[in-house]
Amino acid sequence: MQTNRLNQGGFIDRHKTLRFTFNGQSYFGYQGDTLASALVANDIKIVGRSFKYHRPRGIIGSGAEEPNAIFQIGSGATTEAGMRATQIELYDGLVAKSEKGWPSLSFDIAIINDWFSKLFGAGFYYKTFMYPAKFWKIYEYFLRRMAGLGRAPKQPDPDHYSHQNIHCDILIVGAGPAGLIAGVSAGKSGAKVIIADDQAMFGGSLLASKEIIGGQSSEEWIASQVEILKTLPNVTCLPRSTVFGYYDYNFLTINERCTNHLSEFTAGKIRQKLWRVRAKRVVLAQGAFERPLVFPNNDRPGIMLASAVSNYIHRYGVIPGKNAVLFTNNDSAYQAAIDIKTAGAQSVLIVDSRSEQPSDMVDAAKKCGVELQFDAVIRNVIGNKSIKAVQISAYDASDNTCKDKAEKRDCDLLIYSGGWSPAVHLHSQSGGKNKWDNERHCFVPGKPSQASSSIGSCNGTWILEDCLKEGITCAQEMVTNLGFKAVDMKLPSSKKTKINPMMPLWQVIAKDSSENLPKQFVDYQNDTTVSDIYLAVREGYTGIEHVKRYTALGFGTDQGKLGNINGMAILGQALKKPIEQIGTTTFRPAYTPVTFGVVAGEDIDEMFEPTRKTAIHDFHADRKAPFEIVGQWLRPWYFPEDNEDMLSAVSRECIAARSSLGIMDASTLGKIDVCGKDAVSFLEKIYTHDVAKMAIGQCAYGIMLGEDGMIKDDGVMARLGENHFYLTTTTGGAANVMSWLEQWLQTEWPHLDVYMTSLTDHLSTIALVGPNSRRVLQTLVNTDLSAEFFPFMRTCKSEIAGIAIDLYRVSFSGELAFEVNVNSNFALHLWNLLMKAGKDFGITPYGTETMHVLRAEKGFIIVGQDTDGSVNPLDAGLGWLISKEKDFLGKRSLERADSLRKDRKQLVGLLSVDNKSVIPEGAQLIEKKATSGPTPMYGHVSSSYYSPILGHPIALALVQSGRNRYGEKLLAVSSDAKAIEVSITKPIFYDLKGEQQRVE
Amino acid sequence: MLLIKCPWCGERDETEFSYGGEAAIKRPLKPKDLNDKDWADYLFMRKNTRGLFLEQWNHSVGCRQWFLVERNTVTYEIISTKRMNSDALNSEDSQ
Amino acid sequence: MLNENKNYALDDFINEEKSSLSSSQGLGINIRAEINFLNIRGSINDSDFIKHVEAVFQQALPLDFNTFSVGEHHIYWLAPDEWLVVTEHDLKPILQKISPEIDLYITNQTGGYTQLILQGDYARSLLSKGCTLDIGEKKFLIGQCAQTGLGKAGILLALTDSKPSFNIIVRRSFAEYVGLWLKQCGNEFGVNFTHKH
Repeated sequence: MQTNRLNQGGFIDRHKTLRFTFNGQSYFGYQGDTLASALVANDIKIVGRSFKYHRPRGIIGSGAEEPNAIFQIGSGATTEAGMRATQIELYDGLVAKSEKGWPSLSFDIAIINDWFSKLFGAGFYYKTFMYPAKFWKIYEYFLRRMAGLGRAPKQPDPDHYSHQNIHCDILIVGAGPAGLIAGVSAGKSGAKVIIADDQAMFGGSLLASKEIIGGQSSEEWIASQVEILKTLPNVTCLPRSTVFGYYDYNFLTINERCTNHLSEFTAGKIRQKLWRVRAKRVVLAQGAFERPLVFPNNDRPGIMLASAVSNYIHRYGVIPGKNAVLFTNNDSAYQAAIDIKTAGAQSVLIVDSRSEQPSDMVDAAKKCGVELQFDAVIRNVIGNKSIKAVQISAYDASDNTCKDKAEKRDCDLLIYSGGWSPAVHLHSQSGGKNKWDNERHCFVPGKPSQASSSIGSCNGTWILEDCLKEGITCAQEMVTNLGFKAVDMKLPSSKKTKINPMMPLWQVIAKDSSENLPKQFVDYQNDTTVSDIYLAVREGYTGIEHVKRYTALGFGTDQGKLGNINGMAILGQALKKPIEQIGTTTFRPAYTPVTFGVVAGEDIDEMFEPTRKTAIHDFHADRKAPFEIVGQWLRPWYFPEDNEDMLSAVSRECIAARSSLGIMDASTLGKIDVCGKDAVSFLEKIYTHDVAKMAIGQCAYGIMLGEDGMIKDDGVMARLGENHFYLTTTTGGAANVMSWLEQWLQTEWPHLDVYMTSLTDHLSTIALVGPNSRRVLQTLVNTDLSAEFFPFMRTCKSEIAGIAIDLYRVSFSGELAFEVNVNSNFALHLWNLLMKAGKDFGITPYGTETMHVLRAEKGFIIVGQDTDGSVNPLDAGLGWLISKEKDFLGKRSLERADSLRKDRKQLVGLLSVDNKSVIPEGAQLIEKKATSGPTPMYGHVSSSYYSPILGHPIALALVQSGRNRYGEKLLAVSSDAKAIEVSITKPIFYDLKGEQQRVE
Repeated sequence: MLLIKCPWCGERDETEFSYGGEAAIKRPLKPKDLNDKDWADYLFMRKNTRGLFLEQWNHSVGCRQWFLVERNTVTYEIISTKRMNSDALNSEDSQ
Repeated sequence: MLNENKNYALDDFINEEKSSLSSSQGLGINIRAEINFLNIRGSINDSDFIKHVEAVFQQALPLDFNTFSVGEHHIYWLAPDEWLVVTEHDLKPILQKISPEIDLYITNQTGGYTQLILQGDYARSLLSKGCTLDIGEKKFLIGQCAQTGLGKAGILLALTDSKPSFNIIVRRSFAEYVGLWLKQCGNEFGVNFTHKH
């Protein structure tokens, strides 16, 4: 039964009944309701249990500030946690569960926390669950269960999310009266405007008021403004869109909820959108939050903010109570008393902490039959699961305390208002400071640090007419500033109300000590009480950031929207400092929580990261090769035949390459064309070897060092002409090396005439490897491939079947081998020609694993695997590559004392003593005798394989003074295998003299 | 998210750039003449300026050009961007 | 039959898309398979270089940053000393005209790039989903080009007419990702693929 539903009024459609469930129970609401308004309509008092004490809690607010009505919505894959009922639009079939309360909301076992709450002060968890340290896992399990956080679905999210970048002249945040009129004003000038509001309807505070604006009702006025905005093609209206982040250079993020209001899941539709806005100017018009008052038991279900009461009545046709008491320190809250009395409440009493003064609001309240009591406060609330009565005491403003004597007043609703706090969140996120205003008793935005302006109540401007004026002026200034012609706007007339100043009342202090009173809550979501703040101060925490962390004040998903200002003021009282000296905590995005789904957007599954495929990829895929990802590239790992396992496949491939003919797709190598008059002098600085001495057509294995002397990258490079070179880099290092080379060229040697162009994509590289490679290749090319004309480490141009190719006689396997570079458009075709030509020789495609085995057998390093940024060429046994004559990057570092240390780790080979065990890569090498406890670690295994041609495992390792320890035995230990005894050898295992690759 | 004005391509999102650290660190012309300490200074020591800082950025997704950025490390405000070899670098050089 | 200048990078992708080829709506993507790409390097302070390029290609070299020239070919500005020629003409006769006396450095990039053409009312909206550049009607004009990012790939983007039509030139190994990106993100706008020979 919607017992609290009014017969008329509100922006709801009473003909469209919607059914929903809350904690398993079915209820009805109307189209236009929020989940919160429907719950209030159904007279649901308890919507959750509190975080620490598990006290029953009810709905307090009607918007983003709601700390209690936080639910799990839906079930299965589409369930969402941490949703504020006040911001969930009701749809038919909505399923909501409260996140706290176990076993049930009405009876929560952990309420004992409340009874023994003396034990549970601030810092309780820090102090109690510290020891023994290993018990934390057990504590954590129960604490999480008790805390009742929401649950994330275990299934993948079936919803679609979208990202959209957008640039605009002016972004307006908030479509209340100030934002709306700013939008119209800016829009009419022709500026590109985006206006976003987190609610379904534009209008903001006007939706809950009966003001007359420019002769129109507020409802009509909103409609007319929205109509104008919609007709302007340069204006984008974004309802249901929360601007949740304000970053540098006017970059803001908006979370638009596109279909959340329709159903739990809408197939084929985008559920939420992330707008990434770059705005020239930003207008902040998000409004203000009403502050609660702090008094004993101020968290009982049935206590509600004054603005929320007006909202429920005017927007949703819901009256939250029949006998109301309103506790206030300001005039604005009077409106709620008037609204609820007019809506049909039997009795309404205003308890005002101030003394009586003539005001329009007092007159209006009296006129509609509201009772008034001045110089009084609420000193306690009676009723646990719902409010039954309040205790009212006289208030003595001279010493800010209330008298002990109290009078009881029965009620089913306590409305309260402690004044207003401008929503300075985005202003603060943007880097702007806030300043305390001693007249309005709130933080107002200080000077903006970016091109933005705060207007309306978000600027501490409370009077409607002033808000509208600010909206117009701000928009006109901004558009003029941006070069548009401002359009004349007439300020619409609105009622001028005489308002008396509010009285700062941060906490109801009784004559007796506040500690003996029932709990007075400051932050509902974290159960932070007044005594917690005093405790924090007693324990030495005086900075607001420290107190925040000790007491969890402002830590919830509501980010202290309700509690922070009261908390700061109470801290000020405890420290006997004015609030402006306390300061605020840091405001960070997100303003309200956002889903991971919308942050990820479309960048999921196969779109998570680009995968690059070579031009020959189809062949590998057809052969069902498993792929390995290397620097975004998909590289074939091995090519299984029939039901071969990896070891058999790799053994077969290795033997084929060593005994006859293998073929490998090496297209992922980084390839750089270098030319220009100063190409030689540039490369002389980059490579350690003598580039100038290279003949045209000659290749060289080259290494590049960082200026710190450590190996940065390696690869074959070739001199193609007097001033023309071709460089290769590692697959993973390609982009990095290119930009590093450009950095040296452009920033250090800009006078050099050098041009570098990437050929990585244009050229594909096919390696033909093995004793029969020359024989087979010779059948396809006219070029004489004999050693006499085309010796080891030479390059030339040639042609196969009319396709131009570059030939390189280079080897990464130690075998006679050729690399063929070809325009990628022909690569697959050429690969197939080579496969055909090599058929009689059992040509065997091989992947990265065989490549690794072959190179490790020869002791060839892989940069990034056998080196790690702390390995210099001397460590790696590449001293022979270092030119004595010239300077090059990193050379000086090789003479630093650290580089000359005798105990540096050096590249060595390892053999397992049992000749059987393959040593795990990454295994640490320790003393053989070592048993347990700390023992020196001499190095680690960097590469390790089973060598099919040798019939035993081999490994490469970096070992302290390794080259002096050949023959020594160590123990290789790792977490995933038992210790293996190894002996240290030279880092080469096969064809020790290197004859095969140079074969005549 | 910074908006950086590439001296060639104009204002682009920070995501199009890569950072190159402190600008105007001159590589010694004759490294072998430097003692270990001076070489280590060149190699490792960087200013960690609070306030105005001259740094180099690369428009890596765009024109691949390295350029100079004068940026306030406190407010993130970019005061100016300049091409390499422009006066800003030269004046740093002469220090 | 093997075409000298056919780029096969997106072939598989296209085959999967056959079903949607016929019904083109507000947004279409053409994949240009048979075009050649040449990368030109040289100094703009060298008037011989500029003259020579213009003589070889019979077309002005765009010296303004982030613009391209249209004639027999499209020539895009890439960097202060770098341009990209996209052409349907045979490369051989062009390359033969290049004089070794001039400091003009050229690399064939035909196998290294793929070009897509995105056309239609929603082209700007679709691109803006993954591109942070302001490509609004008043900001990105016909004749302008920009190297920028689309999703997680780098692209060269150029506006060629008011339909609007955008040329998207992407490195071969990223073409499939960009194609997939346009398809997935284009769902929102009803994107369709066609293959243009």
